[in-house]
Formats: sequence, structure tokens, C-alpha cells
Amino acid sequence: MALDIELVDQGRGTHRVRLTGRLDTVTAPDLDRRLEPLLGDPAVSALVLELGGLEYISSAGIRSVVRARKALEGRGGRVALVGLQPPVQKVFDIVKALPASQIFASVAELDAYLDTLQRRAGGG
Amino acid sequence: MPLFLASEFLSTYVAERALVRGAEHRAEAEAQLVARELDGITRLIEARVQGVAATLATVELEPTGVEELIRSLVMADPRIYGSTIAFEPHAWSPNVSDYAPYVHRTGDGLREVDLARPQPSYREQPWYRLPRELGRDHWSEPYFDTGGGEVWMITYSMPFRLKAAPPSARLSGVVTADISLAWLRELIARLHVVEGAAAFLVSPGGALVSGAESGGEAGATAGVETTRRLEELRAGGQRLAASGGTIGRVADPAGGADVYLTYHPLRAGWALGLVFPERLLLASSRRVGEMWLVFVLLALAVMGLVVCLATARITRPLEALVRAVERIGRGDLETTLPDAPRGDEVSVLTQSVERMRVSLQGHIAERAAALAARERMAGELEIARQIQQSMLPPPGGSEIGGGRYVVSAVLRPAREVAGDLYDFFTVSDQRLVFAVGDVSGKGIPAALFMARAATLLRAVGPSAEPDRILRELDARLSHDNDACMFVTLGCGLLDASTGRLRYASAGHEPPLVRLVGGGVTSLDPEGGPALGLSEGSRFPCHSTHLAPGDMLVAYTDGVTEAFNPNGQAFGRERLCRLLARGTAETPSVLADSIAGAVERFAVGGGPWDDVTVLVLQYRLPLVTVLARNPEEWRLTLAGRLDEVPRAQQSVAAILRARAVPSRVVDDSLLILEEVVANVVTHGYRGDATRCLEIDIQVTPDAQVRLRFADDGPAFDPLAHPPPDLDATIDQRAVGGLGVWLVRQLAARCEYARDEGRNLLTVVCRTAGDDRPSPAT
Repeated sequence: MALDIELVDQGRGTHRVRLTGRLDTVTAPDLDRRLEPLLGDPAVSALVLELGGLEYISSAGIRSVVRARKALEGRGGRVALVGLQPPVQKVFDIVKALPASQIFASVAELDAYLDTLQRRAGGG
Repeated sequence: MPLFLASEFLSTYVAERALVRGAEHRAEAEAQLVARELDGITRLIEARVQGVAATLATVELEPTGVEELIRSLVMADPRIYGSTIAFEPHAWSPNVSDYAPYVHRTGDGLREVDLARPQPSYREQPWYRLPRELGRDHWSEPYFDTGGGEVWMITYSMPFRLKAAPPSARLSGVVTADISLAWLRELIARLHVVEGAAAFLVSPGGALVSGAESGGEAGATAGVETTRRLEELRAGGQRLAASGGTIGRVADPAGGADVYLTYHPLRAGWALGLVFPERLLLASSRRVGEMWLVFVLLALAVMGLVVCLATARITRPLEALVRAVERIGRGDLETTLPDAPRGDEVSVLTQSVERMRVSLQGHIAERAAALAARERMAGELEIARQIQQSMLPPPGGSEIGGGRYVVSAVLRPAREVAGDLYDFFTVSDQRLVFAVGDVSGKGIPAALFMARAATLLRAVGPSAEPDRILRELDARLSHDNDACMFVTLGCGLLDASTGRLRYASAGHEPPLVRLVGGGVTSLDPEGGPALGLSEGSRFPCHSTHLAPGDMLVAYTDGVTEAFNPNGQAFGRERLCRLLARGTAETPSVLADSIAGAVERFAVGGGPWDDVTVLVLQYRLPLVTVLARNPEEWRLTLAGRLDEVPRAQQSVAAILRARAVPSRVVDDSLLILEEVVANVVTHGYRGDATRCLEIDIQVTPDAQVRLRFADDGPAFDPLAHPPPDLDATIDQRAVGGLGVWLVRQLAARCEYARDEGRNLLTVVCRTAGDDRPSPAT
């Protein structure tokens, strides 16, 4: 099991994707496949990628994230990453795949952000 | 025997002497008898004749008185043969010129003749002439009286004078009396001194009268021999007489054997001699001697027989004993000894030999049993050796967990069975456990302990890491270890998928690793004590990585402590030099060359210890060693994306084995993925039959250089413009990030197109290099 993908619907349009293992050129297509329904579903407004268990990412994985960003941000949603390990963080830094504001160190920070998102979405 | 012969000769000699003396005495005695007889008759005759002469001189005789005188003279004694009164011419009567009446005996009476007729030659005869000339009486020599008695005789003659004779006449005539030689011969023939003797008389004149009928040496003629032979006898006799002896030994004049001669002078100049051949005299002694010899020989024979019989009683059993001992000597120990006669030395000897035979049998049986036991032992040892050999895994190799190992081991026991051990076995399909050990001591006890340890290792090994394996072994071997034996053990675990090696040691020599580039390093864990002595010891693991092509060499101290005749030890340094120098490509070649070097080093150097060498080589499929200085490997992979993880694993193994910092390793792996994915996706367009080559070079200071070679269409990834990372997300390109990553991670990138191949060389940043890469 090079990549383990766990999808959790947290309600109110927020889906968590917990990744464990390697996200590389071999496993990225699996992630793309699993994310595709979410990316096409307008009800999904926030995608949280929990990468605490991800030990490796390559450009193929970056591409998956970028694709997800394009899809969600295109309809006003957001992609957030949490728990990046240093090697993964380093790659994201190099390719600037995500604004730093959307990378969270901890779940608490992430939850606060999400609340803000929802209030904003819910508050008009 | 010589003693017998000597005594025989001595006794013979003595007997002969005695016989001779006896003969001498007898001869003497007989001679005396003869002498007396002759004496008697001669004196008688002399007396008678002188009496007649006296009568004639005093008495006037009638004419017949003469005849009566003569007759009475003859008749006086039967031994007188004849007598005559012979007259001088005309002395009897003036008318008668010759008158010699002679009366002699004949067979049946007397006979008278006149010696004057036919011829009056009587006065010529010596018996007349000599007394007439000498004027005295005279005994004659033997002569043949022709015309008278017609026999051989001797005559005593005495001149006489008639009473009426004129005074001028000297004599009137001669009176005689005769003894016939026949009577003489008869006389001496009666002598019986010894068988075969011959008696003879010797006259004063030397005439020899032999005995009659004696068959003596003197011959058988009328008895008178004057031959030369007898002359010599006579001479011998006279010599004898002259020398004063009466018996002597002379040579037989006839040329025969020696004869004995006795010589006795008689009266009137006569002598009596006796001749007897020595042979005859000594015949009896010779006979005695012969009898004596025969007796002696007989006695000897009898004695010999007796001795033979007597000794046979001894020698026969002895011979039988000797034959029996010979049979024993030839190996027939079952032979029976002969019965020995009771009680004597031979029976004692026989009993001793019997005891010896029994004890020999016993000894031989013991030795045969000991030999059989030794052979059985040797046979069992051989079987034990085979069992031990079969316990040791043969050289082998296998691909496990994506990696590959090749192991070759050599174990040369010092004795039939070894106290060293080695083992290797795979665990859970990607790990290899290996171990090398050395039991204290040598031979059977060490081999037994070795078997115990090896079995426990197999039992414990699959489930644990080396440190725990050793702890378990220690606990179990310490248990029930009355002999206080111990084993040093080095145990390692190779993860063939990553090349990771964990190693722990229980008092064992640290193994060496010969790196691909020729360098030699050592695994030096902080080890624990030898196993089996106490529980509770710790054996910390030492972790390292093997790069593909590296060879780990584990060994026992039979290698390093092999001594040469100069007392030098082989030693670790020599082993390191051997590894560094060598170019062996395979573990079996290396193991054999180490064992061979130790063997050659230690020739003649003293007792061996068991020599064990285990060589483990780590390999990766599709990874070959490209260069040694600096070390470089080549990885070949198919042009498929799903090959990337495996390639990354292989490169990770190489880099970690060279202590490349993990950040650099991570960067290298990412670079690898990006480049390969690029080639596969864009260059090969998914053609999985195409291959890439990645050359991984690691410098001694852990700098990594990757060179990617593909034969796709020319494509220079570096030529493409970098992505706009600051663009908004909707404008961001999805692709192109890979190359960007590579360029950011690398210290240097170069592209070249060579002979239809794309060559991309990437030098990774070293750990401390955080400079941003040039933005090109």
C-alpha cells in the first residue's frame, strides 16, 4: 500500500482527505480518481488534505493538488493542507503549489480557518 | 666316541704288550723245556759215546764187540738214531784198511751197514775229519748221511784210541752217535707257543732246522734251510741274543708283515728260535681288540639307542612343543599343545607356552577389539562429519524482497568434526539471517556443542533481530551447560530489499566488508560475551547498509590465529590486505581464496584451529557495478512508471550504504522519480519495452551524481522554460513542475545528446549546501 486514501465527509461541504504513504507518479492517479467526484461536486466547498502520514510527494502529487485547487477555487472553495512532513513541505515550497496561508501546521489552526470560511459562506 | 676309541687303542696296546710278554714268557718256558730235552739227549749221547770211547781204550774187544758196543749205544735211547765206530786205516786190523760199522734204526729194527763200503769215504766226512783234526769231540752240523742212515742228522763224534793201538797213533778212530733231524724237528715242532708260530734250531754253523709239521715260515723241505731269508732270521736272532733280549720284532725277510722272534741259546752252540708273525701273535689281541671294538660299538650303539630313547622322551615332547610354538608364531592360536610328561621341565615349559598362548589370544582379541572400536569410532566420526556437513548450508543465493544475496562459506575442520559453525537462512521473504560461530575447543565435544548451538540458532533466528537472537541463544545454551562450554557468535540480519544490515556479536571477531571500490571496513558492534556462560548479557546491534556488490566477510579466529612456522599469526591486517588486494567477483571465489591463503600461510606451523569463512554479497537485480574509483553503479530499468519505486529503493540502498545524508538521499530519490517519469511519459510515451540506465556515482565524500541515459527522442528538459509559479491557480500549468523540482534540488544539471541518447547528469547538493540553485 503505497498510498492510503481515507475520505471523510465532515458536513457543510467540508471533506477531509487523509493520505498515508507516498504520493508519487504511481499513486497519484489513484488520488485523482478518488478526488474526481469531489472535485466535480459543487456542494464540496472545502477540501482538507491531511498529510501527516504522507512521507513522500513528487510532482505528480503536486499536480493532483493543483488540479484540486483549480477545481475548488474555481467555484469559490478552498483546499487546505495540514500536517506536512518536512520532505513534503520542502517540495511544496519549491513549487509554490499552495499559498502559505493555506498550509496549516495543525488541525486546530485548520478548524479555525474552516470556521471562518463557513461563516463567510454562511454570512454572505 | 673318541674317548672310546682312545681307550680302545690304549687297551689294545696294553693288551698287545701283555700278549707279547706272555708269548715271550711262554717261549722262554717252552724253550727251556726243549733246551732241557736237548740237553738231556746230548749229554746222554756224549756220555754214551765217551763211554764207548773209554771202553775201547781200555778193553780188548772181540771182533763182534764193536758191533755190540754200537748196538748197545743205539739201544740205549730211542732218541739215538744211529751210531758208528769208524776206524782209522788198519786201526782195526792190519788186514782191514777201512772198517766203520754203523748201526741205525729203521722202521722196525736195526740195520747195520759198513760205512766203508762201497767206498771208504767216511774219513772225508766232517763227523770223522773234524774230531780227528781237532782231537776232541764234536757235534756236527746237520747233514744228509748218504750211504749211512740215509737221513738228515747231526752227529756227535769222539775220537778214541784202542787199547792195543800203537802209541804213535794219535787216534784209532771216531765213535759217533746220531740224532736224526726228524726227531729234532719233531721235538721243536711240539713247541706250542702260539698258533702259527714256527720254531727252528740254529746250529753252531748256522744251519737252520725248522720244526716239522708246523707250517712255519721256515718252509717244508727237509727242514734245513740256509736260504738268505733264514740267514736274516738267524742274524736277527743273533742280534737279539747279542742285545741281551730274548724276544724281538723283525721284519719278515720274506717281505711280509713283521714277525716276532724269540732266541734261546742252547748248549753246544745251538740256539732255539721261535718265529711267529705278529699278526698271529697279536691275532688274539687283535681279536680281542676287534671284539673290544665290536663291543664298544655295540655298547655305543646300545648307549646311543638308550640315549636316543631317553632323550626322545625329552626331545619328542620338546620337538612337538617347538612345532606347536612355530604354529603359534605363524598365527594359529587355536593349536593344541602336546601332552607333556608329568612333572619335568618340559611340562613346565609346555604349561608356560600354554599360558602364553592363551594370553596371546587374549591380547590379540583385545587389540582386535580395540582396532574394531577405533575403526568404528573412525567410521562414526566420518558419519558425524557428514552429518555436520549436512547441517551446514551449501553456498547459495536467492532473490528475496526485491534484492538478492549470494552466500558462500568454507569450513575446514581441524579434526574430523568441527567446533566452528556457520549458518544462513531467509526469513519472511526479504530478510537473510547469517551467523558465524566458534565453539570453545576442538573435536567431538566442540562438535556436539556446535550442533546444539546451530539447532538453537535455527529455532530462534527466524523470529528475531540479531540482538535478541543472541540473547535467546545465550539463555538456552547457559542452561544445562555442565561442561562449561561456550561459543562465540556473530549474527547478522540483512534486509535484502533495502540493503540494511544489522549485526550483533557475542565475543566474536568483527566481520569485514569489502566495498565495491576496494575499500575494507569493519563492523564493530559493541559486543557481548561469548554465549553459554551466563544469562542476562546484552548484545547491542550495529546497523549499516550494504551497497550492491559489497561483500561481507565473517570468519572465525582459525583464520586470524593461524600460525606459520615462524610463529607469526595470520592476523586481521593480513586479511584486510588480502581483501583490498583481491579482485574476486563472487563470494565463492573470495571464500576459497581466503581459506587457501590461510592454509598456505600456516603450512608446517603447528596445530590448526577450525577455519571458517563466510562471504555474503548483496546484489540488486539490474544493478551492476560500473566503476570502483569513484564507486559507481548502473541501474537498468524498464520504461514504466511502476518501476520507479523499485529504482528508488535500489538507489536508496546504494546511497545509504555510503552514508549519504538522508536529506541528500531524499533529494536524489525525488530527482530520480521526476527524471524517469519525464522520460517515460514524454520520451518513451509509455513504450514499456524501452529501458533507461541510471548511473549512480558516490564519491568518497558522499557526493552523489546521477546520470540518466535514455534512447528516446532528443529532449532536453533543461531547455524548457520554468513554470510560472506565481501565476494564479487557474493559470498555473499542471505540468512542468518535475523538471523545476530537479533543477531546484540539484547542485548542477547537464544535458547532452550522445549517439542517439539523452544524457542528463544531475549532481545532487551536498547536505550542507543550501544555496539556491541558479534559476535557469
